[in-house]
Amino acid sequence: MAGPRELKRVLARSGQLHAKAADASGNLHNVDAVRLLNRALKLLDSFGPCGEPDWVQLRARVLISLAIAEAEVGSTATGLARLDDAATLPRLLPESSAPHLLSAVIDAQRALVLCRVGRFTEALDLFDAIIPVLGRDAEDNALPLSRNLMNRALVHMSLNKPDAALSDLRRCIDLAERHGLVRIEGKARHNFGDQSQLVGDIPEALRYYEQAARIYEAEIPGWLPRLRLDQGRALLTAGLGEEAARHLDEALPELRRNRAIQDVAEAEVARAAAAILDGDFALARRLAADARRRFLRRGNERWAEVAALARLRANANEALENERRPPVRLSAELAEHATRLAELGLRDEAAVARLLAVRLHLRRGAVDAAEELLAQIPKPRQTTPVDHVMLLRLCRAELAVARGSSRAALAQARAGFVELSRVRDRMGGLDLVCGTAVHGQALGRLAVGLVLGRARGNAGARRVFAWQERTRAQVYRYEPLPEIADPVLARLITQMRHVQRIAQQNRLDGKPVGGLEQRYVRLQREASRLGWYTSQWGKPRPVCTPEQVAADLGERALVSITGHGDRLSAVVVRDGRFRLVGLGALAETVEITKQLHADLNVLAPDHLPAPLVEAVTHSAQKRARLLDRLLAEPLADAIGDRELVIVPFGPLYALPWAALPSLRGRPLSIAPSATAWRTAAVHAEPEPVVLVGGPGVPGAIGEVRELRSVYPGATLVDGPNATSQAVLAALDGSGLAHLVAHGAHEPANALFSRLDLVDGPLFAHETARLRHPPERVVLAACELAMSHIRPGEEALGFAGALLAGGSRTVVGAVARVGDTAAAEAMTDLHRLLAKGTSPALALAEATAADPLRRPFLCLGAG
Amino acid sequence: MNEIQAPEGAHPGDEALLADLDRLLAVCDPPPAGLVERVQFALELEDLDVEVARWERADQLAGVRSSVDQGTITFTVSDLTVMINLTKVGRCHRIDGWLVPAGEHGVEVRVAGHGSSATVSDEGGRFVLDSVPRGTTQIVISVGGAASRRTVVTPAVVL
Repeated sequence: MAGPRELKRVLARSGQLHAKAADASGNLHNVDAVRLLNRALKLLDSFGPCGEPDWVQLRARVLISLAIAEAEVGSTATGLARLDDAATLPRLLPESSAPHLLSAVIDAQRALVLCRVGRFTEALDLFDAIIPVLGRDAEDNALPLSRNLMNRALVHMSLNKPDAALSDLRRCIDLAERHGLVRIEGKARHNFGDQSQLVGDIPEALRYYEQAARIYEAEIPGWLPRLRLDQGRALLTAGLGEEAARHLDEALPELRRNRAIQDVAEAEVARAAAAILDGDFALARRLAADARRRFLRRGNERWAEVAALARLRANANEALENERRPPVRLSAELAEHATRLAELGLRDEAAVARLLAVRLHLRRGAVDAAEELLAQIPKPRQTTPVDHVMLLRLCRAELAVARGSSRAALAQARAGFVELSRVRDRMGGLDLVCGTAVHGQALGRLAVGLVLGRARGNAGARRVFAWQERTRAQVYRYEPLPEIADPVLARLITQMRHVQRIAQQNRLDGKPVGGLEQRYVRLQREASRLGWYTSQWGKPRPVCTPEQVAADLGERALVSITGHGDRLSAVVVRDGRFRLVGLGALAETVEITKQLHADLNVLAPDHLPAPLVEAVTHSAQKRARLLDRLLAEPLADAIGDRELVIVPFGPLYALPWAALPSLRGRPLSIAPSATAWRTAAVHAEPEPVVLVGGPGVPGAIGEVRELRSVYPGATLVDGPNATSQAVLAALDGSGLAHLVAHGAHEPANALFSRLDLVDGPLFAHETARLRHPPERVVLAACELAMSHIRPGEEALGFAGALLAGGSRTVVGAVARVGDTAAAEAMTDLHRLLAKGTSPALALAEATAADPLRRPFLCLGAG
Repeated sequence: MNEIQAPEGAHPGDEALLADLDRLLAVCDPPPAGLVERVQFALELEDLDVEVARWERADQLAGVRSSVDQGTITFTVSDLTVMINLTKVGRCHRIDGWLVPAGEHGVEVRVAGHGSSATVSDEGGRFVLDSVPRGTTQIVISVGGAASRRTVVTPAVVL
């Protein structure tokens, strides 16, 4: 047997390997950790079994680390066997070496391995035994104690005991903070986020995730992909499917590289859910199958069944979207799967499987089977996610329809929208407020369809109108609350501005911008993330009643458009009466609107060659006439020659209404909902006036000079002074703001639509949070009246953000505009505005001169 | 592309020299990325008796109040002009197009590796092609319809 010097050498070397492995594993590089630990173990065992306390301790620690690392990348059984081996070691230690603490650590690791494969009750028993042992000397055992508290919190969460989980987490954070255990604090905050998510508090969850992210970035970047996974899940709950998909796509390659198999598979399940929201069922199925295989290989039965549910959900949703009768096999499969999920204690998941089966039964006309199954579904709990709650409402409503009781169906829909509103009210940031609507989409469609189908006369049309208001563009229903400034967000936005400005200069110089664009996308994603958890967006205002709207319209007529099935229709409100009017076919109208929009975009540049101008103008005129026939002609009798308030529908947000021949010269206001119009339609004080001229617009100088003669008292912000800060400051509290600059609509991320200023762009995001937004805004730029439309007609863009922030009227372009054409239109507009003409009327006259090259709309209340 | 064959019976030292030269050329003057693919793609056209339109590289941002490229491209040959506007839709493009002089011309869009899709412009020369995969793209116009003898192609461009 080797001597004490040899022992010392072996211990030192294996100790180093263990420390290196701990770093690797702490950063989730478990493959490296396994390799290092196996070397350490071999080295120790080469010294043979030995009673030396240091050898025993170190061998136990190596086995403990190996257990979790192997369980993560390989099999759980192998990991647990390592712990069985370790468990034989403490008894070799003398009492002075505290064998009970070593046993506690071994048990703690066993509990952790069990957790990761979903054996929570066994894990909880172990934790309940260990924690009091460590708690006897809490301050000395701060590290293991805080770690075990955190892990027990995870178990509590999984067993749906939110209070116990929170109590453990609080103890853990307190201990970690006091002892400077930064990594543990980061993870505990991460878990706090999970816990908030579990109880449906999405903004709170996102806030904790971001706190954890900042610690991870500095201390343990390897944990970031896992955090992105949880953020992705929170975004899914918030209805932001695209954003969730982006987060998960960012996290997945990194997780795969680290072979963090459990996380890879969980991320795949979440990504499948995002794909279902997006209607990409094939992708969802593929991801769900991959995830299920991984879970099975790990022996994680519960998660394997959750992954299987994701595949069935994709199939069910696809079948429900289809016109054909769904196969009976699918509902049977779901019902069977529900039983299995319930046996595993996955109550919410079991309910979802049954609810989907109910919908499929109903679609097949098997009403009794549906009713029987629906009766088995327990009432939602406090922690039931809102999408499940809404699905339950939808099933009850669909059953009521099948039983011939529209009244009961509508009552279910009404109750569902009240529940959804409650969730939305808590949201921070405009994106989250908009996203919530996705969960009510199907229920809203059902309700509007029901009332549309039965609408007769004044009362029927009035009912349709009331449902339109209840189900569309709810984001405009909030009175914004003051923002709690976030310095990190402010710094990010400054960076974005800078990068965009440099990129723009490079573009103009013909230099490559690929790298800058990538950087910009990354910054934008990060800034969005911060925007999501800002303080609660606003105080909800009630949805207006049809009578309130009718009363405030006065001499105007309101046209509220709905697309349902393949039909377009509109409720016209005029002189206190409600009338339902059928319009042209939906698909045709949408397609021609897209064509007209493309026509106007290519027609815009001032120097387009004459033959092209002629060809495109002909095309645009022809399409405008077609749209006139599809949309305006059917309405002619109902609207007469009244001034109009138009509430558009989906793709029709991009329609230049004033280009339709029969609406030419008619005052129009475009509003996202009648409630939004009514909020905006209060007396506005068009003073003081602010004129802003951005860089690089040849017509800006002339236009601003011209406007100075119209508004001699106006504040002028142009030339080198037109920085974003100066412009924001000037806008705050102004009555009328006119901005001449280059503009760009950002289709995928509307809140980052922008207006170019001297120091880079001013973002929609920033204008939405002005303390006193300008009453009237004129955006003499391209595209800034365009909107990104989320499910539930939640339309948002640069102009929309201003309206949601409290501006009354925004004049903006719905397509690209030529420099000269815009300058001429603006001069005409302001000459009338300055005389006291209403914005809608002034704009109608200004655009009538050349509607195809002046695609401006008056949004809000004109 | 720039591989240089060593002549028969060359001195062994020459081969090494030529190989070095080969590597140097590959570094200093590599063939443009995708050139081979584009040439092969262009050669796939069955009827080589065609006119090739020229890409009019206009400044996309001149005369409009926008800071982003709209994705409008114009091609011309003698009296014919083709203007297209691209809109990204998911993984595909929607192509809106205008042909001058106006008329019902055959329009085919070929995308390398994805076959082609075809339509006919309306009497105003207007056409739309939806869901066109992204990639190396060429537009083939049969002036006056499929029966015509005159075919105009655009250069293959990466869209």
